Amino acid sequence: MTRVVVMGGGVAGHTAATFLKKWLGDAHEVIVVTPNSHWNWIPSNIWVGVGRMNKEQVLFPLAPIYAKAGIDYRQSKALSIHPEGDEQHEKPFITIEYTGQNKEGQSEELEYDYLINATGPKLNFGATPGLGKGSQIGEHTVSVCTADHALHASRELQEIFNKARRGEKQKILVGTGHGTCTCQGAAFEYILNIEHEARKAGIRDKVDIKWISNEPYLGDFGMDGMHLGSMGYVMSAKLLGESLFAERGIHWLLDAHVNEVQEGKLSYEQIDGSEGEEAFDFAMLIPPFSGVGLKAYDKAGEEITDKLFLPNGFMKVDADYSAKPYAEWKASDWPVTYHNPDYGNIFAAGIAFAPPHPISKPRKSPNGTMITPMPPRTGMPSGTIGKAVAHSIKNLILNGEHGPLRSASMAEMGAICVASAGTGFKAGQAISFTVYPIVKDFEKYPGTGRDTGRTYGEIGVSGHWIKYLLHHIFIYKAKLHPGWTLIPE
Amino acid sequence: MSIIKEELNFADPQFETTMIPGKFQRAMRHCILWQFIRMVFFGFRSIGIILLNRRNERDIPV
Repeated sequence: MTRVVVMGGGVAGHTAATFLKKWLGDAHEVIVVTPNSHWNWIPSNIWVGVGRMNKEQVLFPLAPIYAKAGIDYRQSKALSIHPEGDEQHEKPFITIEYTGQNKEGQSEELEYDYLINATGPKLNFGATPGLGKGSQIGEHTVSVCTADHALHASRELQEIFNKARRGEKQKILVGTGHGTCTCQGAAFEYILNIEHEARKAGIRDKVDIKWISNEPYLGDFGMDGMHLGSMGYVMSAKLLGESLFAERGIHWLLDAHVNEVQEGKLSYEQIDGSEGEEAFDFAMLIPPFSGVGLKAYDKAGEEITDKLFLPNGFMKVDADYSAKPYAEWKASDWPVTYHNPDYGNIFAAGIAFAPPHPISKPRKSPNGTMITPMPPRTGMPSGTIGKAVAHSIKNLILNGEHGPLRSASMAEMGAICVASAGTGFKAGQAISFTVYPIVKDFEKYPGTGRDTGRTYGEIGVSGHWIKYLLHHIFIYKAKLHPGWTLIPE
Repeated sequence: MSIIKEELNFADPQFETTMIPGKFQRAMRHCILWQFIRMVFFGFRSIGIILLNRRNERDIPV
């Protein structure tokens, strides 16, 4: 019996574990190690954050789902990887520490034949003074990265709205809390939803809403922007982003690295080296992401963390990590099969894999501060990569060491994204867009790096319907209800 | 405050090079019939992306 251990139960880990169990059946063992007791449909946290959904609508408990699927579920966090085993273990193993199941604080060593690292990110609030400590959010700002964060954000936002209703002018700041953040899309959705709610509440004139971001221009989204076909035109995401903000009276501050957050104000540095301050009554700032801090050790117990991970904590896979200038970046730098080059039985999926470099052009201020959006790899790419990795491991188990491995390069992968701009069956809006490929390929598409026939977007209430449908469809799929395998990632 | 009037919008230096929808476009964004058609259209586009992703997946010998 072969044992596959999946570290992480988010989109990538859950997809990989559930497909592996389905394909391998009871002849092989699949173990999921995740510190969380619940699965979270993160895209809908936006709606929790404005009070339009409750926490329970975006969460469900993992234990009964894994019990139904025959997956061994350990509510615990992974601490270290021992890919060569040690004196006591012939086989490779990981160490875990329980966070639930009435075993809190207990440690265990878990041997594996194949390991998938799908831990997702550490929310690195501690990277910006005042934003938080380590992975804990501070007291000056809010976040929508988890359901609990979003619930807290919603309560704080209602306080602000109540003050506005009493006639007090309020300032809301939304964006990124560090020069190397990713996930601008979540903040983008949140600011549009806040504006929508303020307008519905009749207090828009009492609320000043501003965007602050590390992007070089609106619509970069860590993807170096995009050019979208739309109703007979091809337009840049910059024009779309600026127009959406202009239409709603939202101002923006770009190229900004937040230096420090204090009560009611933050300081920032911009790409030209200039510094400034921005006051706020309410701020939602996305933290930068890093790896979760896993350590690795060889058979003798010597630390080999740098062999498995980059300094940012993300796992090395089959990408080209050699340092190159932007002009020499290629689509082929990006990983294809997501296996670790030194240990062929270790894979990484979703946010946990280390990208070879950003997609957006890297930029530094004269002070040497990196102000560059990092590449997104959440949602559809996470699920697609998770499934491809599961496919590869199934092939390795059933066909022997020659595999073959399944490819899922982000340079050959399209994505479907729906960015909410407000809820409501008739009054809601969202921008629906498709992007192909996610990573620009200037050799295939010399103009914009992407296929403008397949990179497309439009705004309307239909986008809201689609996002609402996706909320239910993906929770249905994640709960493994009948026909779940037919629903694409 | 409803959607900002065009003349106010473009008087703001940060907004002057943007575009904003006119009355007709704003109405179409919320027209149930038109938006249903757009949803079906986007559904087909999405299926195209999913099929393309599947086509691009390939098996690579170790």
